[in-house]
Amino acid sequence: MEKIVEMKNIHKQFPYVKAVDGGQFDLYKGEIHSLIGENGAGKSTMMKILYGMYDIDDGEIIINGECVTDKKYTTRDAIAHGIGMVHQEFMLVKEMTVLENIILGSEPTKKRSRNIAIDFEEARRKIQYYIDNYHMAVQLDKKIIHISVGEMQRVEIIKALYRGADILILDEPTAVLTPQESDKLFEILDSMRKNNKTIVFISHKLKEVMKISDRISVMRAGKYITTVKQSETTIPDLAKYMVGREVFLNVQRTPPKAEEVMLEVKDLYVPSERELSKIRGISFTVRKGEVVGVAGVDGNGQSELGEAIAGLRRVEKGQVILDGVDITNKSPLQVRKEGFVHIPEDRNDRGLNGSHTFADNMLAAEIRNHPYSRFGVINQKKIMDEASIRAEKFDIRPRDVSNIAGSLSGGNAQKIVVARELGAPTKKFLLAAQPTRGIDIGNIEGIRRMIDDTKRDGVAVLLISADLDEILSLADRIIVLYEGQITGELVNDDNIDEGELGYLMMGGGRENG
Amino acid sequence: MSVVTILQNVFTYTLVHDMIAASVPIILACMCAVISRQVDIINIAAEGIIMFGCFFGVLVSYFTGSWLLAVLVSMGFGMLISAFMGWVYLKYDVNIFVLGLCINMMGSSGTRFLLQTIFQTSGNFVSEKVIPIPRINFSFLEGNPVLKSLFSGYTVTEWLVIPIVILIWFMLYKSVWGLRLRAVGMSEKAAVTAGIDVDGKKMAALIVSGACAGLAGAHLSLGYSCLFIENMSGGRGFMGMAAMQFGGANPLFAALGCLIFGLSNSVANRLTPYGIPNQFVTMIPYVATILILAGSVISGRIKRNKSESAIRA
Amino acid sequence: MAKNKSEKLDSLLRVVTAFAFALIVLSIIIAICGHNPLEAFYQMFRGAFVGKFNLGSTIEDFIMILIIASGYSLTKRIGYFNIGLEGCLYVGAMFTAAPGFLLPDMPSFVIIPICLGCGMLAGAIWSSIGGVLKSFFDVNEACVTIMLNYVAISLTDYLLNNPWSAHSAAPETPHVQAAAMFPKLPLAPSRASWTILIAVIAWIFVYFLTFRTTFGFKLRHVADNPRFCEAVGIKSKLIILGTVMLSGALGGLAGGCEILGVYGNFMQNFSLNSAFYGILACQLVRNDLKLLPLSALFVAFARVGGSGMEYYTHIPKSLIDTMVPLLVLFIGMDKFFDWKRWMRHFKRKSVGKKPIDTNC
Repeated sequence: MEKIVEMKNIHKQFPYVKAVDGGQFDLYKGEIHSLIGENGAGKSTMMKILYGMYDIDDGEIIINGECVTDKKYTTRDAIAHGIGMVHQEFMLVKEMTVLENIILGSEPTKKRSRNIAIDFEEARRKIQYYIDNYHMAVQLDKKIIHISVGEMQRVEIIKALYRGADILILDEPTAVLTPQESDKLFEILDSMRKNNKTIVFISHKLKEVMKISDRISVMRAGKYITTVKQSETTIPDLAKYMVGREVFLNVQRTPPKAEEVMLEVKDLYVPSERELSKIRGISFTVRKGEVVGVAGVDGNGQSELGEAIAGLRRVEKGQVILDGVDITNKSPLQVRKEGFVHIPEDRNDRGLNGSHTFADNMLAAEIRNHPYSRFGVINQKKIMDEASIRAEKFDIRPRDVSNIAGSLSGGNAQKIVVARELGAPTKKFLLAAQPTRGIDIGNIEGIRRMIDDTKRDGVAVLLISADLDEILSLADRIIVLYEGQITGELVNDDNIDEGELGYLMMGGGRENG
Repeated sequence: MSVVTILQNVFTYTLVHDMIAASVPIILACMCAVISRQVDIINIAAEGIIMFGCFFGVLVSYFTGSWLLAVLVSMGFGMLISAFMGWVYLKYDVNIFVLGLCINMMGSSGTRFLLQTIFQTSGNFVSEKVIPIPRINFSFLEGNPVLKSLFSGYTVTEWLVIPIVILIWFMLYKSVWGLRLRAVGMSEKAAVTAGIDVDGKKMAALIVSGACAGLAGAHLSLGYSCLFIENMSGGRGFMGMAAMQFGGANPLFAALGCLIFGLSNSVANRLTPYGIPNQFVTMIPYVATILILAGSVISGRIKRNKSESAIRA
Repeated sequence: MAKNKSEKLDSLLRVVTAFAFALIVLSIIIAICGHNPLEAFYQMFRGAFVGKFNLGSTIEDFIMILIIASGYSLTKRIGYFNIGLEGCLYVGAMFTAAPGFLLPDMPSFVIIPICLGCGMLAGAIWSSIGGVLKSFFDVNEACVTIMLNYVAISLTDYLLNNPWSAHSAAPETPHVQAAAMFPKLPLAPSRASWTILIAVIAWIFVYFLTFRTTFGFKLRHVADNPRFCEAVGIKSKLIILGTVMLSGALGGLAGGCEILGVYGNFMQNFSLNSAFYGILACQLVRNDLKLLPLSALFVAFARVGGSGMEYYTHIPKSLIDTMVPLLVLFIGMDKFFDWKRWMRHFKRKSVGKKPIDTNC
C-alpha cells in the first residue's frame, strides 16, 4: 500500500501547554487509522495541524510525497490536498437546510443565470451520489435544527466528500452519538474504506477503535507512544498504553475520617444539550472530611452534574441534599448560603471576571456580607485588606490585588478562584471541577495540597476531574461516570486496579457500551 | 352617528389604495432592515438614510428636472452612508445602535441644515420645479370607479416595489450570494470554515440595505408626495424595522407586515374626524410585533427544554 | 501600571485629535457657507453662557440631559442599549403631570414627591417591559424599545386628547397646581429651575450606586461576565432587570423635571428626541461617570449655543445639531485618529509590507 501522509517529529507549543511534543503519524491509502489517547494527549491538536489549522513549531509533514511544511500550510492547502475534517463541534448553520449546508461555499450555479442562481437540481444530483455510494441517509430539505446529531455528522461527512476529500479526519465522532448511531457510522466508514478513502479516527473508546481500525496509534501527554496493527493488539494492551503512566505529582493524602454524610445525591436526572452528557439517574454520598473523585472521560455528564449541584442547571428529577437541607433547584446564592463553595471547571468562563481586579474577583461571592458591605454600601478598604491577606495566604503573584485578573497566567488565575472559594470563612462542601486543568506543574501541586488541607478541616469534597492522576492522588473514593450514569465505585487504597478504572471509564461496566 | 355608519365610511374600497400608498415607503424601509438583518446586523439607521434620500430626491429633481436621476442619486447617497456605517462598524467596532442613532439624528438635522442653506427656507420646501415620480393611469379603467381606485394612479416606484421584494427574496434564498450572506448572519463560524469573506458580505448587505432606504426616501418625497418636509420620514424606518421583526426577516412576510402597518395607519387617519381615539389603532402593529417576538422566544425555549430533557429517552 | 498610564494618554490623545478633526470639519463648513468660523464660535459661546436668558436656557437643557445621561449610563454599563429612554421620558412626564392636576391642592413638600414619584414609577414600569424581554427572553432591546417609544407617544397622545385633555386649542393637559412647580432659578426670563438640584442628585446617586454599593458591584460584573456572576451567586437576570428599571425611573424623572420645572403641563411632542441627546452625552465620554456633567454641559452648550449662533450670524443651528452626533461617531472610532499608527503606516509603506499571519 502507498503511504500518502507522513508527519514526523511534530512539536507544538501553546501559551501554557506543550500540546504536541515529538508527534508522529502516517497514513496508507485506503486504511482506517485510529489515534487514541486521554484528554489532552494531543490527538486533536495533531490532526488540526494536519488540517492546516495550526502552525507547527518544528517537524515535517509530507502529503503525497510533497513536503508541505516547507512553506506556509493552511486549511485551504489541506483541502486542496484532499483532506477533510469533521470537527467535534459541528460547523453547520443551524437555521439552514441540509442541502444548503452541504453546498455552502462551493455552490453549483445555473449557467443561464450568469452563475447567480444556485442550481439546486445539480447539487441534489451530486449529493445523491455520495448518499447512494456510502449509504448515508440524510434528509436534504430538513433544517439542521430538526435533524438528529447522527444525521448532522453524516452531513458533515458529505460536506467534506463534496469538497473532494480523499482523506477524512473524524475528531471523536462517536462522542456525541448513541450506540445505534455509532454502529451506523461504522458501516459508513467501512463502505468508504471499500471505496479507497482514507480515514483518521480519533477516539478514546477502545471497543470502537478495535472494531473499526486497521492500525492504531497511541498518544499520551503530547508524546507519541506507539503504533500497532489491530490484529496484533488487545483492549487491555491499548488501555495500558493510554493510561499507564508514571505518577509524578503525588500529594501525600490525609486519611479520611468516617464521619456523617454531608452531601447526598438521590436518583438525579439533569438535562443537557448533548445526548451523552445527560445525567440519567445517579445517586451517591460525600461524607465530611472525605474526597470523592468523579472520574470519567470529558463529556460524560461531569459538567452537568457539577452545575446541577451548584444550582446552575435545572434538575429534572431527584434530589440534592446538603447537610440535611434540600438544595435541589435552589438558586446558586441559596446553595452558597448553605455552605457550598465551588471551583468552576473553566476559569475563563465561570471562574473569573477577567476585566476586574483580583480583589473584586476574590470577594465577589461574599460582597453582601459584613464587613465588606453594610446596608448595600461597599467598604472598599475592608475588601482590599481581606484580599491582600488572601493573596498572601494563597501565594498569588503579583501580590498587588488591584491588578486586573485577566492579565494573569493560568496558575495564578486559578489561585484567585481558589482564594475566593477556599478563603470563605464558613464552608461545608467543596465542589472542585477540573481544579488544575491547563496550569503549570508547580501550581498544580500547590492547589492539590490546598484541596487536601480543606478536606482535613472537615469539609466534604467532590472532585470532578478528567485527569486520572489527580483523582488517584486526592480521592478517597472514586465514582466513574460514563454517559451520564455511574459505571462503578471504587475505594482508592493501595490495591486499586487502575486497569479496571480505565475499563470503567471506557464504559466497560455497562452491557452495550 | 352610529358605529356601523362610521365603519362603513372607514372601510370602503378606497382603503385599499390608501393602504398600499401608505405601505410602500414602509416596505422599502423594511427591505433595508431585512437585508441587514440577514447578516445579523440590526440596522436602525433607515430613518436617517430615508431623510437624506428625501432631501436629495427633491434637490436633484429640482435642479435637473429628472425624477429618475433624483431617485438614482438618493439611492447612491444611501449606499454611501451605509458604506460609511459599515466601515465604522466593521473596522472600528462602534456599537451599531449608537451608529444608527447618530445617523438618524444627523439625517434629521443635516437635511434641515441643507434645506436652510441651499433653499433658504425652513420647515418645508415645495416648488413647481420639483418633478415627481410619474403615476401610471389606465384609461380603460376610467369608467369603473372601483377598479380605477384599485389599480390606477400608482407611481412607478409603487409598482416597482413588487419586483423589488421578489428580487430580494430571490437573491436571498435562491442565489449563491444570498446563501453565503445568510450563512454569515446565522453562523459566522460555519461561514468562515466554508471560506466565505464575512466582513465583505456584511459590507455588501449594508450597502444594498442603504440603497433600499435611499429609494424609500426618494419615493417618500417624490412619489408619495411632491415636497420636502422636515422629519418627513415620520418613523417609517422604525416601522420597517418592526415589520422586519414581524416577518422574521423574510422579505415576503415582512412586506405583508408592512401592509398591516399601512392599513392601521390609514384606518387611524380615517377615524380621526369622527373623534374616535385612533392612537390605539396606531399602536396595534407595534404591540403585535413585540408579542410575536416574545412568543417566538418562548416557544423556542419550550422546544429546547424538551430536546434537552434527560428523562425522555 | 506605567504601561496602563501611557495607554490612557494615547487614548486621550486620540480623543483630542478626533475632537479637533470635528472642529476643523465644522469650521470648513461654516467657511463654505461664507461666515467666519471664529466669529461663529464666539457667538455660540455667547449664545450659551452670556446673559441670564442664555445661561438659563443652557442650564435648562443641561438638567434634562444630565438626568437622561445618568440613566443611560446605568444600562450602558450592562450592555443594554436603552434607546427607550425617550418613551420613559414621555410616560414619566405624563404621570408626573397627572397627580399635579388631578389631586386637590397640597403643600409643596407633599405634592412634589408624589408627582415625581409617580413619574419615576411610570418610567420604571414602562422600562421594565424591555428589561423583562431582554433578561428573561433574550429579545433584542433596541427593537423592542424603539417600538415602545412609539407606543408611549401614542399612549400619551391618547391621554392628553381624551381623558386628561385641557380642552384648549392646543393638545395639552391642564396645568399642575402651583405648589407642585419648582421655583425658578434667578435667571428670568429663562425657564431654568431648581430642578438642577435633582439632576445633580441623580448623577451623584448613579455614581454612588455604580461604584460604592453592592448593587453597583454586581452590575459592573454582570456587564462583563454574566456566567461568572451566576456561579458566584449574583442573580444576573434580576440585576439586568433592576438596572433597566432604574434607568427607566431616571428617564421618568427627566420627564418629571421638564413638567415641574419648565412647562407646568404636558404638551404634545414636548420633547422632540431630547432623550437621544442624553444618550449622546453619555456616549461622548464613553460612559465615564466623572466626566458626565461636563459632557452634558457640552451638549447643552452645543444645542443652546447653536441657537445663539443662528440668531447672530444666520448660520443654521441645525449645523451644530448635525455635528454633535458626528462628533460622537468620531470619538467612537477614535482608533482612526491615532496619528502614531499613521506614522507607522507611512514608515511601513516605505519599508515594504510584512507578511500577515492568517492562521487562527
